[in-house]
This record gives sequence, C-alpha cells and structure tokens, in this order.
Amino acid sequence: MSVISTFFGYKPLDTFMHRFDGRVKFLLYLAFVISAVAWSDPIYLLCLLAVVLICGKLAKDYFSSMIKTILIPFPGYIMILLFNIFAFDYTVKQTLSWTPLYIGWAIPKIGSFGPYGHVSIEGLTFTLGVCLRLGIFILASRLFLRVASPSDIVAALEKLKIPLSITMAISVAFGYLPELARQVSSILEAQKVRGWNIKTKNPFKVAKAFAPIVVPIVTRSMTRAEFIAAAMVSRGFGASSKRLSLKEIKFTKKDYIATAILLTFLGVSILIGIWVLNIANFRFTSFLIRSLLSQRLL
Amino acid sequence: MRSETAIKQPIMSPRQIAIAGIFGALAMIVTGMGLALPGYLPLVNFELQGTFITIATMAAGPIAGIIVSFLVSLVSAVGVISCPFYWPHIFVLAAFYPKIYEVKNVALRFVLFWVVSALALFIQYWGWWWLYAAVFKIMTVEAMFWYNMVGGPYIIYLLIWALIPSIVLVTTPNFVKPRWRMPGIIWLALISSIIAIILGLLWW
Repeated sequence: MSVISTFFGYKPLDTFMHRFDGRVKFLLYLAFVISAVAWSDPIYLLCLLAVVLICGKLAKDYFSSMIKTILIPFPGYIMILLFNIFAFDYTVKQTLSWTPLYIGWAIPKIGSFGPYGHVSIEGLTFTLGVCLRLGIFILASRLFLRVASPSDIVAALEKLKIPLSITMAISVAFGYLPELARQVSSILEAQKVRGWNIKTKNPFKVAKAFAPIVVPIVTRSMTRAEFIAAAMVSRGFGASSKRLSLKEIKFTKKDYIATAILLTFLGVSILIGIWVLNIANFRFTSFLIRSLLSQRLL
Repeated sequence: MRSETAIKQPIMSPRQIAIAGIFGALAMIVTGMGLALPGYLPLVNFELQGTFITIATMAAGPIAGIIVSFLVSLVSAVGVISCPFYWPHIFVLAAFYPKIYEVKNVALRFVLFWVVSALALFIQYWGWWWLYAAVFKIMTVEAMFWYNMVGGPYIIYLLIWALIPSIVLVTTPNFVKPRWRMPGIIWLALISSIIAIILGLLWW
C-alpha cells in the first residue's frame, strides 16, 4: 500500500468521501474539471475551489497540504500572469464590449524603450480566473486519487462496461506497481554505484545520460510482460466468459443522491459556462470591480 | 438439435494485456518519481512517458497505448483530462506501424519509423498547444509552435518518443511485432489528427 500511496496519494480511510462508489468519485472529479473549464470568472471559480477544499476536508485531507498542492505550479502561475499582461490586449480584449480599465504599464517607458505590457483590471481578473482553473485541476486530481483506491478505479470501470481486457490491463498495472517501483529503484541505485550522474543541464546530454537507466528498465519490463502473458494463458485467462469479481460494488441510496446532485450541478455549470449562456465569464468580476472603483472615485 | 456456445472474443490477447499493464505501470512510476529531462520551460520538464506509450502501441496496439496514456494521466498534475491529447500520436503510429514493420530493409524500416513518429508527434502537438493556449492560457498556439518547432523541444520530444522504441524495433523486433489488428485505425488516425490540428489552428 505504501508504494500505491506514494504514486497515487490514496489514503485508506473510512470517511464520507471514501464511502462513495468509484463511479460517483469519478463523476465528482469530472464535475469539478468540466466546471473549471467552462467558467472563467474568479468569483465562480473561487466558490468552486472552496467546494473542492471542503470535499478535501471531508476526505480528512489537511488544509495546509491542499494549499501547498495548489501552489506546486507556482512558476506556471507566474508564466500565466506574464503572458496575459503582455498578450491580453491581443487575445481576449476583443471579447469585451467595453474598453478595459488600465492601471499602468508592466514595463514603463525608459527613454526610447517601452512602455510594454498594458496592465488592466480585466486582464488581471482574467489571469486570476485562469490560475484558479489550474489550481482546481490539480486539487481535484489530488482529491480523486486520495479517495479512489486502484481497486475502486478498476471496479468502477468494470461497472461502466469497459471491456474486461482493458480493466485487466489496468489491474495488472496497479498490481505490479510495487514490484516495478523496486526494480526501477534498484536500477537507479546500481547505476549510481557505477558512477551514473547527471551533471549537465543540456537536455540533449541529459537524454544521452538517461539511456543507462531507461534501457535496462525497458528490457526487463519486456521480459516481465512475456512472463505475465504466459502465466495468464496457462491459468486459462479468457476461457470462461463468466467472471466473478473480488470486490463487488453496488450503488447505494447515498450514491444515487450524489449522482443526481452532481449531474444537476454539471448541467447548470455547462449552461452558465462559456459554451451556452456565458454567464460565469470573467467579465462579471471585472464589471463588479469597475463598479466598486467608480463608486469610490465618485 | 445442436446447441452452439458463442465465445466472445476479447479485444486484447493476454500478451497485449500484460504489455499494456507493465508499460503503463512503468510510465506511472517514471512520472511519479519525477524522472524527466529538465529544460522545457522554467521548472517544466520533458517527461519520459512517450517512450512507454510508443513501445506499448507498437507491441500491443493502439488500445494498449491508450491504456498507458490513461494510467500516466492519473499521476500527472493535470489529471485524466490530459489523456485524449496523446491519442492522435497513438492512432497515427498504429495506422502506419504494421506496414513499417513489414519493410525488409532494416535501415529503411528504422528511417520510416522515425518519419512516422515525427509526423505523429507533430500532429499530437496541436492538441497540446490548444490545451495550453485555450484552457491554461500560458502561451498562444503561434508562440508555442515557434518555440517548440524552432527552439529545440520538438527534437527532444522526438528523441523521447522514438529513440528507445526504434532501438527496440531494430534489436528485438520479435517483441514489437504487430500481432494486433485494429479495424478502422486509418479513419481513427485521420479523424483524431483533423480534430487536433483544427483545435490548434482555431486558436492560432
């Protein structure tokens, strides 16, 4: 379980969130991700983020750990901010029905140089929305993997009528994770003992340096795959069309209620999102901020 | 009266299942351990899952490639939503690979494999560019195009997606012999390529 926890972050707890059917957990993940894509307004997205955080708390996740997870792609947020400061006027501005409220330049005019990066309230609002979207993506993934065990995922896929061959392959992958992780670690350690090290930051040289690691990993895995295939054939895999499941899952009343709520939420979020009514658009918060600012100025 | 039992043929053989499972697990471990080449963007690395997706597709078909991409997406930061963006590459490779394998001349087979991998990667890129430009707003498709195609990342990704698989193709061809059949793969490759390129072009 420790290796599974390392790669997936799954925590075998008995919480409100853990007790849902695997299909409901997947639907919850999809509802968060699709809503995050459909909305661009920071207020809507902040509310969604709050819901994800509450679900995380219900799954007994630590608030500080969740915040740290959101901050992992911090350089990405900086890139998004820089890009939108300089590109907002060329990429998104035309979707506005009013002139943006500019508050200054990112690079002021120095002699004949500049100015560059016209910073506007609308641009910053839009950027905040995009950063929140990325944060929700990451946090929703964390939540899904925290509450859905590998066996939950496989059982849910089976119940969703995904062909047996595919669910079996996923089971094999989860089953062999600990063994393969040990194998990869031992190869890494063996090559380090032989003096393997990456001292350069040149990606071409790093690619060359990775060969002594990747080649043995691949060759050993090829052999292992052949062994597993032989074992499956010798045990009569596929001989019987009737298959029993070790873990039988059933939809309970709680799962039906959660599914109904999630489907309704998903429907509403798509309706107010960019594809239909476009209400949850960053213009909403931009307009609010502009109104507040103009009231203060008056 | 004679009774007949119809045995439902599974969509994958035990060998294909084992390959998809093992290479899927491997891709998850490599991604989860953070084994990646530095230098794509500040603090964004070139991840190695392409190697395992390609080998799985060659040896066990496009469904195996899709399974590996699904498993990798489970441990990636963006999550399962990133999974379909690998598919154009998988379908394009799977559409041409059986023909490439049949080429008797090893050198020509090797070159053709690289050409198809380069084409598949180029098509795959468009979907990712759309994701980064339309959803994450990190760059425009145009900027991503020039940076990736001229700045060097395309070559590094091509090395990741094709170098070790091509070595496997030359040294242990029996392992990657296409013993699979996928009806309509040409159409799948064509449709997924068109979708990826149109998405990218719409956001150019």
